[in-house]
Amino acid sequence: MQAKPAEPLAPTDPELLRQLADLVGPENVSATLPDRLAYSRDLWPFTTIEVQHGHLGPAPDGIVWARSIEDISKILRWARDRRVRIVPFGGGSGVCGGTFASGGGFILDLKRMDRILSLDPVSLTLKAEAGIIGERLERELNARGFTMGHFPSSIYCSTFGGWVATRSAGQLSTKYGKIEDMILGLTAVLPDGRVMETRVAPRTAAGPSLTQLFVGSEGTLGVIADATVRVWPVPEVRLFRGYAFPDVQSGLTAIRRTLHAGVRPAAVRLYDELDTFIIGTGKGAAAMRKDADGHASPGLKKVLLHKAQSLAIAYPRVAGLFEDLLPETCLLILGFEGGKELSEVEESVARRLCVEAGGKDLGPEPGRSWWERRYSVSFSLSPVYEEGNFADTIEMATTWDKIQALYDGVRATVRKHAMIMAHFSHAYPEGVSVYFTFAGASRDRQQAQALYQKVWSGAMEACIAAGGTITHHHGVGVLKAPWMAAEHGLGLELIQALKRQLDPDNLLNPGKLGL
Amino acid sequence: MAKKLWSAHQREIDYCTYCPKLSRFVCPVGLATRSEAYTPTGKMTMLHLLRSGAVPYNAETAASAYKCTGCRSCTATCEHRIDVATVLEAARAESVRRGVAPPAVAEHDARVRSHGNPFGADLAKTAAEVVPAAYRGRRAEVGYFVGCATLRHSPQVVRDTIKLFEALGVDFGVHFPERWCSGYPSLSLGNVETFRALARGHRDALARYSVVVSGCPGCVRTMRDRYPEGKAALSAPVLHVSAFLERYLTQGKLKPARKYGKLVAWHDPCYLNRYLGVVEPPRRLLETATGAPPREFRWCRRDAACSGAGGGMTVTNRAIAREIARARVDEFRATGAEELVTGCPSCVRWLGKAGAPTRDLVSVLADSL
Repeated sequence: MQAKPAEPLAPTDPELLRQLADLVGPENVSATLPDRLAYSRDLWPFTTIEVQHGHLGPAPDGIVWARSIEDISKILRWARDRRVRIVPFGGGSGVCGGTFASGGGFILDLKRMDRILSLDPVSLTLKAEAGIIGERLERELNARGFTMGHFPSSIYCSTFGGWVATRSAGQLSTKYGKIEDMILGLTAVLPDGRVMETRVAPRTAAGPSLTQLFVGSEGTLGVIADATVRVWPVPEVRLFRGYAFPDVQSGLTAIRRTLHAGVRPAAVRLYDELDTFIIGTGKGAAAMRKDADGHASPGLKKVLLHKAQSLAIAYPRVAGLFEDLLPETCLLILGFEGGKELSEVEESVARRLCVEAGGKDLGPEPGRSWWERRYSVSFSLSPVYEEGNFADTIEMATTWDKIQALYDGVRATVRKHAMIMAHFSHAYPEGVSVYFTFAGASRDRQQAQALYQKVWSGAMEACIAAGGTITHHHGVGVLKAPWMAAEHGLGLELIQALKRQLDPDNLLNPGKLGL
Repeated sequence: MAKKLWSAHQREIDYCTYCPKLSRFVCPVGLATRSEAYTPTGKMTMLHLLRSGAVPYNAETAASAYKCTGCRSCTATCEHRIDVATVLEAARAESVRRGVAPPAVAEHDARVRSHGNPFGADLAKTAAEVVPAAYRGRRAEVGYFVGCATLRHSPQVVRDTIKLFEALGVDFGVHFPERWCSGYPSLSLGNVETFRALARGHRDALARYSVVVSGCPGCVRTMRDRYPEGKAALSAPVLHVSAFLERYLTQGKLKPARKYGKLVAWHDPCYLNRYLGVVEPPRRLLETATGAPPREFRWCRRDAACSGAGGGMTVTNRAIAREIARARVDEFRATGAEELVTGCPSCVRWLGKAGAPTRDLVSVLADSL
């Protein structure tokens, strides 16, 4: 699409650039147009719509890369002295607009701090700098016989520090936990440049956890420089089992009973009817043929599905009718891993519980197929946008007693505007998260963004009405900031008071988390 | 011409612009710079913005497309198999046409035009020293295409290749042109006219061979896949020397008289690995020469990391290319091997400059005869 030439970016104050270059070296400072443009977007779909139409997001004045904790300290002290805004930046993989320099200022990129600092094979702990890319960290650990067990779908592009800052969750979280369960300690640089290192211990009762204060702080309270986390031996076995349930409710019952029996699957994924149809079951997966390099390529079914999807995205009400015609099948995938003996027992117990709850055993294939293509959903975004559509995901969580109402409420609201489907993952004894995917269409940028906002507003209100939390693992950024008061009530005032105490001029990642 | 660029690569530019940076973890330039601008997504988004007219096409914005080694690591990771390297190469050609390419590109072109190679060197003298007169332009079944980088930086490899071919009884002649460059560097920098002239210059002389063999995978790939674009398609198949020699191994004719004494690690050159698909033959050859499989890099085979020497990066973005090489040399050191062996003259030189003890595969084989 042809866009009008954008207004030239305002030139960056050369004095600020000179001062920063004096602090950290000129090779670690940039105000070139390619850099400023590249950091004017993260992966928030709202800005992808902007880019789709040839527009640009808010560009920072420049980028500064830290190479050490000392660099971060110097940069933050400098920023406070000169009242310059600083936005900490990892991989820029967030989907909530958490890394925009909306009001100008500098991006503080942490990817030049990407070392593994220590790996303790006795205590099974890892200490690494914040800027290492997730997939590279995991592969390095695998080569040494360990795994973090943390597999967010962003793992190819997100950073270790970003996982901590946004309270990330991985696809095998039901066994390994979320990042807050893995973290043992961290080093944070406070907005005034002071360095705070929390103690690494299996547990502590010395007051509130200061480590957890920074988990999910989204760069507003300090800059996370490094962290220490638990690691695990590379699993001896990885077992999968798929089940077909007649509806969402019976699938959820099976998950709940499995968790209540003390079984801890690594992967838990229950797809609703539409999501099951889109991803296909074992048979659907088999329809995907592979080339010599192991890349999946589309079979006829996939092409037909693609056409049906395009129609449903453009006409969400048609999608509603289409859903009524879907076979009543909800796919559940359970995955187990670790030591062979224990994994086999857990898988066996879960199989009995799933069959008792009405599930039809589909064997290991659906799970294996999912595991092999577990990041494919990220690759599927490009075709959606290329065709002029947009897509996003909404992740919420609640307790078992409210999950059906939350699921029904959000779907009823969103399907007025967009195609929506969902799966349930990240299960707990007390509840589960639900992960909605929606897709909409409009050739006009402003209409597309208005539609996008309507979907989000409706979903957030429906979630709050159903008693759910507005985000399970994507975080807040600017996208969900308007609902932080509804989420926290008085608690938001506490967070705001803390922010004022640490960062009175609101220079560190302003506007995020509702701060 | 820009319209042609945008229309020919519309899908690739769109897909990468909307991609959530899924290949950043393997992009050597993205990893070396740690900048969002130089991930595959960042570089292709710049083309999207240029296409839409949101930003001006000038020297500053054109520079992004020059930050690519052409290694195809991103393509290997991508489920859509988007060929980012080829799109960025087309963008570089467009930048040359518009006169906004980095100054080093025109300087490179001037050297190639005046000397027939990117080094501005008199390679005829070196060629005369290392190629016996009897083989120069000799009509034979096999034509040995030396390539300018080998001649310039590793003339011993030419001697070793001839020694190997002689020992194996290969009926060969050495292609002996005035201009030793295949045209790959010109093509990769966007100097398309120069590339075409070089390709046409080689075409007729190479027509006398049934098979063309080279130790430079960049040359092999260029002659095999890109010469047709320069209206210089070769009639003979073009093979990398490792793929050619593997036949002799299979036939039992390549038998080392003594084991090569050093512990070696094999670096997969990008052009050999991801363009030509030659992965196992050099490993089998090395195992024959040394008596043991070579040590592997952490990132190897399809996932092998680049040396930094490709895509004209050593001409336009030397500091980044150095950083890429440094990372690869660190990886080499972690293998515990004594020597880094590879099958590309540019990798041999560039990784050697970064501190690794490097050797060409052909020389290892020649030593074991």
